[in-house]
Amino acid sequence: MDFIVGGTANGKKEWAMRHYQEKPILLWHSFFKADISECVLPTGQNGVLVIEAFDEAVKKHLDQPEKLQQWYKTIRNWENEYQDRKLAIIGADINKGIVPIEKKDRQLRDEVGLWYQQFMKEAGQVYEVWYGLAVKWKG
Amino acid sequence: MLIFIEGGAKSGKTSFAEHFIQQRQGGRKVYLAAADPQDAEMSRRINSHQCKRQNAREQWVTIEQPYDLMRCIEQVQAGDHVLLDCLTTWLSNEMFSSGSWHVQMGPALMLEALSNLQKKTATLLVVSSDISHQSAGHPDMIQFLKVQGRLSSQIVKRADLAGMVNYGCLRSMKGEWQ
Repeated sequence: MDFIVGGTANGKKEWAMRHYQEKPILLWHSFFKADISECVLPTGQNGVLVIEAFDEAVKKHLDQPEKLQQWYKTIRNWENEYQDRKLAIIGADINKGIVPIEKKDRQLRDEVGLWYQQFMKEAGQVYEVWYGLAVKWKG
Repeated sequence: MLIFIEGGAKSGKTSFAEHFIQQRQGGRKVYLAAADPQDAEMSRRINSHQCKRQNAREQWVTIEQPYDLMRCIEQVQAGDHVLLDCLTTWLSNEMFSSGSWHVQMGPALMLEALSNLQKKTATLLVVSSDISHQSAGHPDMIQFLKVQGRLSSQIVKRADLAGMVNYGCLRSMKGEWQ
């Protein structure tokens, strides 16, 4: 698994598109556009499943985090079924700045932070994208 | 030469940028200020920056232009070393004070102004505030973060040198800093 993180509109998507251009993209699922239920996992054995805007997924499932946790297990299992499959998760770093006024926003910030700690542990490679430039944190 | 520096509040980014420009050989040292003294707090901040610049090794030429930077292009001379302080304030003025912000054309016009400034000068150093790592709820704030992020990505792509300043220290992200 790869984890790609960086600030809002820092060019994470464009960087990922360049980074994976040599491999077939089996599915690019963006939580800006669709939720879990609309994500049909591909059957291909060689290629990348890109999950864009994971922070948006956390936002969508803030009241039912178990559903997202279960789905995360599903996509990890999908990746592990074949050696040449790769899961790439892209998420915005929203964990700095002042404490949000709204309780929901504070909850979101905390949840996203915990997810990213988990990704940092479990990912083989972690990249931070800063305005289109990537720094490798792990791998 | 185009340079991009980003940092948080009181990270030392402007001091670092001032020092960098002062070290450049020849040419005028130009401080292009985007800040607009709209209230007492901003006036104090501007005054503090002005006092610091008075102690500089080489005298600064200050140009105040809160938005529409093309208007000041005639005041800039070939060979100038220009510090633009800062992108965030400039964008904020363009979006919320100029009264002429255009969603599609606004960012492109800002990049064009930077490009023209860069062509005319020896050095153009753009300072920016790190605001992109926080959650945003208000639609204006989300839009602002998106525009600033995209603008910064474009500037970094074109820049010869780019980096972050934290606690007064530079973390180089692009190019060979001396």
